Amino acid sequence: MIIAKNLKKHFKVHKRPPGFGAAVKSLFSRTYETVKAVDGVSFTIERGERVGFLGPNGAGKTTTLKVLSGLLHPTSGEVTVEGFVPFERSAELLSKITLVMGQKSQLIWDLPPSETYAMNRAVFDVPQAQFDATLRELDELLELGPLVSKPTRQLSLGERMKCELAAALLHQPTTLFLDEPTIGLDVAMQVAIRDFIRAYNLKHSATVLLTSHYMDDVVALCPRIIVIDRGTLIHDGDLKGLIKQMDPDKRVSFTTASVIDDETLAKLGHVHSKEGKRVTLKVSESELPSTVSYILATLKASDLAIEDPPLEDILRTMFGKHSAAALEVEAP
Amino acid sequence: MRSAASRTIRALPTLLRVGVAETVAYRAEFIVWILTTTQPLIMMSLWTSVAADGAYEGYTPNKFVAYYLATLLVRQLTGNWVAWQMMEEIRLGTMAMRLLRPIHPFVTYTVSHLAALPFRSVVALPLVGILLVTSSGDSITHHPLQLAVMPLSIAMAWLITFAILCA
Repeated sequence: MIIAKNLKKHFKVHKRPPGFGAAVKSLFSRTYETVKAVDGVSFTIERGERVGFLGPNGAGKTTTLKVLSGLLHPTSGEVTVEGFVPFERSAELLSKITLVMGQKSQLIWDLPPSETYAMNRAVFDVPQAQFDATLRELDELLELGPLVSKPTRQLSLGERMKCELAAALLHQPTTLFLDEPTIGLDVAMQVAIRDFIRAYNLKHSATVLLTSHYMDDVVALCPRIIVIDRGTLIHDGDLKGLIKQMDPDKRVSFTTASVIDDETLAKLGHVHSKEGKRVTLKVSESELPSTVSYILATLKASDLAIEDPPLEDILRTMFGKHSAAALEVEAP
Repeated sequence: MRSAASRTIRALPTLLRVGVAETVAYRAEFIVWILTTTQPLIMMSLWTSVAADGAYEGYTPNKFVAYYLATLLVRQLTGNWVAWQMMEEIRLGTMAMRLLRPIHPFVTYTVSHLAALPFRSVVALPLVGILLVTSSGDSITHHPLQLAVMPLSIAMAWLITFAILCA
């Protein structure tokens, strides 16, 4: 279980203009500004939940994960993870959590991943039999095979990420902080990693807090999402609820035998996109049955699909509104 | 759950083994690294030439050989680069991964640096031994207590260097 109450993390950042003079001057006199990376965030995540943690670049996602995993002291507020205060870094807590950062590696660069696994087994004090069984399971799920005996530096990004996940999970943590675990991976590898995270969550009832810029990751894995922007929480709830709240209209896509004029389409709903004979309309839920019937019966359309609006669009709208509101508040 | 000390002690053999594997991961780099620590040998040849026609300030060529070989030995066995390693890991953010393990980072740094010592000794000890015995045997102490204290002194010197660089 993860509890954050009014969590704040502020950084004092040195600022100076460019140029030689400013560099020399900064030796004697410095100007600082306070950056509120996380500013009063509160949430509770129950054991076994999979939660997407979303926000634009610089929103405070990674800072929050670092506070939750004990790497940073919060400026103020209360945080507990599995009943422990993270920044106290008790060995018991460290044995129950893991942090996977897509852009940072825990694998020893010049050695095969198997050496990192052996080291983790020793420092996490995992019994040999349990280690062997877990490694077999991870090998099966992630298809590690010969990767574990190749030097890490010679692995591709996707191969390395699979080995990273295995290294992070060998001690069978029950809380997983995943910071963009699929960054830079191809689509097939992204799907493999998602499947693996879901399987691990279900098997071990592990709590998963995931940040990702790939909305497909979030849609596939996280029934609940927490959205932060500029260090403040702007949404905490289920994904479907957010979509309904922000944009309740459905996207109806179809292909027609001939190009339909804009006037006819406008009668059916708002035209979201039109590329030749392929059209996407925004249609309200109440008008959906009649519109779909008309499209199929009268327009003789094929390849019809009804979807929720993409999460990217929802978030873009959300962050846009939030930024505008923030600017209004900041304005004198 | 075991105590931190007990867990650390149990982890030491594996940490040492991994440290050794890291030390010898690049063979060419390993040899170049050994060669870069031979500056005392260059100074030795310079000063023995200076003293070849007679003692310089009381130092005979044999004394210079003894001095610089002792310097080589001490440098090989007490040198470490932990400050640079820590600086690099902090700059790149990879120290976070060390901090997420339930063992103090000081222990992991210590062990990985200790693991390199046998390989430094492989080069330094035979060279120093042969040269001291063949050319400067009279210039080194034969006092048993001083000889016995020498390994302890080197160990303490290593610890002081390591602690200062860590601080």
